[in-house]
Amino acid sequence: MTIKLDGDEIILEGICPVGEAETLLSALSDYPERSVVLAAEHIHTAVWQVLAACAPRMRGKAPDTFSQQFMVPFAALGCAAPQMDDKLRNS
Amino acid sequence: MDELLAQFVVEAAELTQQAADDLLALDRDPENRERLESAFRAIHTLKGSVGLFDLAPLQAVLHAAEDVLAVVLRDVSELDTALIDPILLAVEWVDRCVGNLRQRGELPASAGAEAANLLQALASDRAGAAATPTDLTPEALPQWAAALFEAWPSPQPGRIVALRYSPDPECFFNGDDPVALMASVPDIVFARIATREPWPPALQFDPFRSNLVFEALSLADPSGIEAIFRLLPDQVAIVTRLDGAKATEQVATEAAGEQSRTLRVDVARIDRIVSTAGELLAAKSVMSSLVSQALSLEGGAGLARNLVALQRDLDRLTGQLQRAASDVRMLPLIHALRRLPRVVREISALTRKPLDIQLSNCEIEVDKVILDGIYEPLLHIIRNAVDHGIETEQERLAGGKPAKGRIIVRARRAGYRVELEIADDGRGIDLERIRAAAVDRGIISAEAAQTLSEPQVLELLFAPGFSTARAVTALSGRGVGMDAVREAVRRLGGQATIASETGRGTTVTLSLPTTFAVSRVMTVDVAGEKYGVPMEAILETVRIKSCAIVPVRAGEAFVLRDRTIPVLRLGDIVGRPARARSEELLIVLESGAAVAGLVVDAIGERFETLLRPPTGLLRSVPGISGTAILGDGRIVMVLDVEGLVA
Amino acid sequence: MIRLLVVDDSALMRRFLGRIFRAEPDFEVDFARDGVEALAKVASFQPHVVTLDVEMPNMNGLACLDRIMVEHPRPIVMVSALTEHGAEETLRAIELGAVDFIPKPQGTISLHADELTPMIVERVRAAAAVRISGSRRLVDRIRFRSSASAQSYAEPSSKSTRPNASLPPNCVVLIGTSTGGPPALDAVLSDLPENFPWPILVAQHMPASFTGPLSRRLDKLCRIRAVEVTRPMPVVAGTIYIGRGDADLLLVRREKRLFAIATPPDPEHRWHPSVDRLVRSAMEQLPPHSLVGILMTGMGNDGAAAMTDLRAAGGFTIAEAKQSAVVWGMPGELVKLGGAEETLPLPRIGERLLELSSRHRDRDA
Repeated sequence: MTIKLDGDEIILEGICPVGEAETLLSALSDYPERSVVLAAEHIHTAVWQVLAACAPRMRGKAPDTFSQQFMVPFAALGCAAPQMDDKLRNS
Repeated sequence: MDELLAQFVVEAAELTQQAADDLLALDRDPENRERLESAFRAIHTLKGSVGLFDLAPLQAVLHAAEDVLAVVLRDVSELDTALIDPILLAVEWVDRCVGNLRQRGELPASAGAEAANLLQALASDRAGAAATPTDLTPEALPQWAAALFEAWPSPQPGRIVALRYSPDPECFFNGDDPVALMASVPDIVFARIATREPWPPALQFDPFRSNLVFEALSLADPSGIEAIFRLLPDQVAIVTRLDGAKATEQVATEAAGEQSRTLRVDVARIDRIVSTAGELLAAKSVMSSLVSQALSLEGGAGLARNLVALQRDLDRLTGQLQRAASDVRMLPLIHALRRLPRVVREISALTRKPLDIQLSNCEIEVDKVILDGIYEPLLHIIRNAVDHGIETEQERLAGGKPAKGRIIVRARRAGYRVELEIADDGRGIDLERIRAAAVDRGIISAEAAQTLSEPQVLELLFAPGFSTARAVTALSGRGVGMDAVREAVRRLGGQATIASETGRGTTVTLSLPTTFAVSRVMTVDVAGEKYGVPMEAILETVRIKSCAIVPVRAGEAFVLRDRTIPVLRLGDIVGRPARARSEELLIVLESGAAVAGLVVDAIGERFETLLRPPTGLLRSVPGISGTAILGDGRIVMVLDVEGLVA
Repeated sequence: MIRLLVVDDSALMRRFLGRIFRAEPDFEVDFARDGVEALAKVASFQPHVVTLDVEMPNMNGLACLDRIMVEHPRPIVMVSALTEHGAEETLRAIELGAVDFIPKPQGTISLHADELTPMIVERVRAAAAVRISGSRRLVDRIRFRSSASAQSYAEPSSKSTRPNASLPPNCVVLIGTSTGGPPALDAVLSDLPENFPWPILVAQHMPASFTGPLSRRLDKLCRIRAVEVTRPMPVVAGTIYIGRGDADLLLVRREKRLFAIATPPDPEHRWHPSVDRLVRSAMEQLPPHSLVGILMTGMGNDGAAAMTDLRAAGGFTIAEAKQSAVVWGMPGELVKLGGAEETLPLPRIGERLLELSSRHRDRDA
């Protein structure tokens, strides 16, 4: 288990594989006010998607520069995230 | 090479050949189920075999091609011939890739990007959507890339790679981790992420379907980025922008404001306009017979006059339309030439001869077909120049020349044509060596060699199979010589000549048409098929007794007004000899100084059409100079008179 | 010595399979290029097992299979492209009596030739051991058995003494199966009535492109609804949930409701959809006494460990009996581990489900 519950916090640690997305989703959908601590060496895209869809409070550090610089701000947007422009689809 | 791979290479060559044959047969006869099934089987088997190896781009392309055919097979529908082009392109490309596998044991580095283009062409279904997998205007950025550059908060000049990665929604199931891939792209200076669909409520949310689209700008080497996404050619678009005055490739700088004025259009759409214009030309040729019909009516003179006036208007308008349509296909030469400096640098490194290349007047516009067709011959000429012309640095310095060899590619307008000069400042051509080599290879006798004038000797360079390289060199020693160059140029309707000055250098001049004008074509029936013959090549048609055709040495000839004219039987050439007849119908063809009589079964209509040089597989069929569209939309192959007669 | 006949029109595929099996000391391989040649070779070479390409010129794979099953019945393993079309043909082939299938190697799928090799050998070897009796096809055999008499199986099967009434109304049925699974599922599920009160989650080991056609086929064949789980689906009574192939099927809870979801395959498990993972996910969401685990024909041991734990915790488990199983690997392992509360032949499994659920069915339906 790379997703740990610690009081009001959900801690991501170690290598967060794709399967943990569902675990994180159920943890966050039960208690949306829980915040997430990023302490993992790797976070799979599926887990990032849960973070982006639920947009919980986050602290800690993302595993790599790209994630820190771009995925964290993107996930913070939640439902306000930009959607792909339909005109550009398949272009 | 792994023995399984070795066998694959052999099998693949046979299968691509089979598929190409079937597809070409289908182009003529779209209802032929047997061919359709055979093509499908060939591609299917090929796909199965590819699966044994790690060749994802090939697999994806073959799969898409198979799908297109599978739909036609399943629906028991007739094959839309517009679908043939993209499939043929795919098959040809696979063949090229297999060639690469045979020689180097790996796919070309560009395979991923090419596969993406082909996939797009194969996916753009329905009539006429056969896209050529090259951009019409490579410098016109795709919309997303242009928008990405605009969104970049701190732009800087130099080479930038724009990347757009739309992971397949199912990709997690294949083990993909898109964020990890993006994190491995080096030197990202800007990125943005969007969702495909808005995030759904928790009950419907499926975290295992990828819902993200990534866009990024990177300063890294595009080939490195392509390598990262090698296995996902269909999910990634990569565009390199070279800009700023310091662009490494002497690329014409693109004014920022101009971007918005360029429209990026699928070549297939333009071709549709061009071919419709061509059909219109053919259709309007009916007008003249209407005029004569009207004249034969009682009191039809007034009608005839009106028709003539209408015909004049139609002539003018179709002419304009056709020119406008051809104009759209016109592109500046630089598009073909911009890759040369890089190639020259590579050659320079390989041969250890310092080199410099200059391009001038490259803004002259030519038809895209010409543009696509001249790159290979140019490359060849340049390789030859470096291999045989340019001396080593020491030799040059000893001869009082600058250390760096120089190659100049210069374009010049000459009437409706464009002349491309490729000049080097090397040692020039050693006429004696050419003479000796020609005698050596049995092309001419020793006595004849001595009587040849200088231009005649240089002409020997173009003789098939001629090559003066003493040893096969890494650069130009792959068995193609100047004859291949001339052949390629001739197929584009051009000529190649060569001039040389000992010690000062060699100049190859290519004279090319800039566009494809309307030609008058006559159809003839030969060996059960219709072919077009350009009217300008036809001297006359004659009917003679069969016994008037007499054997002469290896061939046949007949006498027409005291002139002995060789006879060509196309039926024999295409392997379908005609039965003996008491009388033969011949059209007398002229090309340059050569004349020949072509035996035909019947003479058909005359019409105006746009003559298009052969593309795709037809390019390698000897004796065919292009295709023309008949009034009823059928396509006929137009005979290459020069190739037949000369 | 196992005599193997490889029937394939692609020289490359013949060579690929030939190379794999020549490297095995106990295999003797011969080849046929098409169906006609295959029939002749089956008669002369007398193979113990045949691999058959689905698509071939002259006589296609299905026609050839049909002839072999009638004239010289023996275990046949289909070699199938991982496409929708390939899946349909292959399921049809299994209906006609093919024992199993192996996927044609595909570079784009994560399976590469090297990883594929042991799997291919294992499945062909297992198929060679299958006894094909008479010239009857598998489906016929199963139907025949179910109609002929269940008594012939009565003796070796074991039935628990647990009273039917002990199962609660809101049970979930978990079925795991592999080789020989599709006809076994037909036999167990096709007779369940419309008012069957429980949802049924099925982990049938298969490639991704196969489970769609499989669920459509079951949906047509069964009186209750069958769906493939490709996205989160709320779990409702009287529905069969077929786990998407090459992925794992899990029972999860969202906002207090049960959902079936497909997740990317967990590399810790060898076969997918993993029966072990399905059972363990269900045990996390529901008390064990409201779970019914059924393990049917298949190679290997997937599901045996989790179902043993399920039984130990108080859940109800059934293993298919050896006589009816095409391959008695998974159910055999469950029996060995002592995890099978009951061991029943195929036709009895469906009947047992009806008995167990009888109290909770609407009388009037």
